[in-house]
Amino acid sequence: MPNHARYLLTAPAHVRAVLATVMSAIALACVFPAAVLAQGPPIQTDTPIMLGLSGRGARTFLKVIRKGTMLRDGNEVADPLDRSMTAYVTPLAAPYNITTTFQVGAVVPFVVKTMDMGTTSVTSSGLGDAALFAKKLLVQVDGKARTFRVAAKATAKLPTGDHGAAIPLGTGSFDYGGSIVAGWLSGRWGVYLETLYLHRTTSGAVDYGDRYGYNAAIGFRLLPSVYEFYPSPQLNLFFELNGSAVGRAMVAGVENPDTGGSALFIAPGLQYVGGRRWLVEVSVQLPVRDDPNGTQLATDWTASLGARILLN
Amino acid sequence: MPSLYTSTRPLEFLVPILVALVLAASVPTVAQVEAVTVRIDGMACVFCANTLEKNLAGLKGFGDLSIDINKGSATLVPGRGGAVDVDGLRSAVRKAGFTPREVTVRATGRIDGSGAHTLLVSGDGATLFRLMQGETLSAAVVEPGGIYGVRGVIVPPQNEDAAGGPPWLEVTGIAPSGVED
Repeated sequence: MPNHARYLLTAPAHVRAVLATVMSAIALACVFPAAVLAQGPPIQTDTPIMLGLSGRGARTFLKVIRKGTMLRDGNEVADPLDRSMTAYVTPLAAPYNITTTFQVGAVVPFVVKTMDMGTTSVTSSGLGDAALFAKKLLVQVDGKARTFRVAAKATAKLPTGDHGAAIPLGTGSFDYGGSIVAGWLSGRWGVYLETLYLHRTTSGAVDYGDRYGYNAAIGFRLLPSVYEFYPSPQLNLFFELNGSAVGRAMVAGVENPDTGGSALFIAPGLQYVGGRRWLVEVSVQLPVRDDPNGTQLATDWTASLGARILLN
Repeated sequence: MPSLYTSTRPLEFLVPILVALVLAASVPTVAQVEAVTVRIDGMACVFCANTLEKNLAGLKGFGDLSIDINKGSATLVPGRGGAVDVDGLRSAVRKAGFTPREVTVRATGRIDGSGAHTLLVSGDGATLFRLMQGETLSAAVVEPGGIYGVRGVIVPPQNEDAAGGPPWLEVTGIAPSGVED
């Protein structure tokens, strides 16, 4: 499909897609009785649960981001410079539980970015923008073999990436924000919803636009059909929607029309939990809507391959 | 296949002796808590059960631990003569991020009905549990001084007078030959 599935949904439709995902999850969970237990943590979406691999497990993954389609006001246009960009991002995330309801942590990414322009290419690599976070459990409603939890998270992004590199590795701005994440686990199913807001500040003459994000995830334990005694290996299937909207940046007080925009990705994924101490996971994000403002390279796809290991 | 007793193999005469030893070892020892099971709400995330395992494994006086995800429960086997610290058990579950519910125990001991309460007493005379006069215990024919296997749910004290001392047990099963889970 030209531009992949980018224009499958219109703006109102992508809101409907999120709602449909949530409603489908609720319907499916009603149809299938909670006779068996649930799956692992989602891959792209956050979780309010801060236990086990989600509490004391270091996480890393390789994320490949491919941008190769030039869009102008949502329409594909020819790029006279024939530009495309590939980014390899490897974050290391290490949470630390102060208690089982309060967690702090850091995410430190290593980034390699390559910009191709016809026959030439430029590559920058190094530390990206690191982030610190604190997460607090606000709501916990437990039942037999099910739980509903809500957590609030505060995030600060630090300007640790070299924004003066040939291909910038960071924004150079100190950004901060918060998110609310809810999770409902019952039976073989898990449903997660997340909404986040990041206030982005300035770097030099650039005042970045804020970022709003929303994620929804449905997880289903494929194997085993009945989970009896812990620990046992398990295979989980995920279906996630990851959306974002970024405001235009101001440069020296003037709005840059070729910045910001909105996007919505569908992200199927697989996760194998090998026991009590580790899991591996893979996920692909495909755009169902990618609408950058003005003229910009759009994201064609991303692919993530990762692992989580219990630290202690 | 030749009979065990007609075998000409020199060491096979040891087999019945070993079998007898194994059977003797499997007979419930007098006066001990054999298993403690706590039902746990919220244990829907398999990937986070490790936190529960770590907290329960740190409890003093317990040996083996098994977590049954499907039933939403954890079963601990106390060490020989180990006391049941119910509050400590519930606290460990809470600390692990889950909600503890009822605690059931399976124990063997001597029935002592000489005082105000019916007691389950260990071999060294220590009281393991105070037994509540529920339907099961009332209906059972219990010989004072006899050794019984008892299964029951630990209940909080009914009033301040009943607080302190050994835990109260609402008996759900009692038999001279022991009880099954």
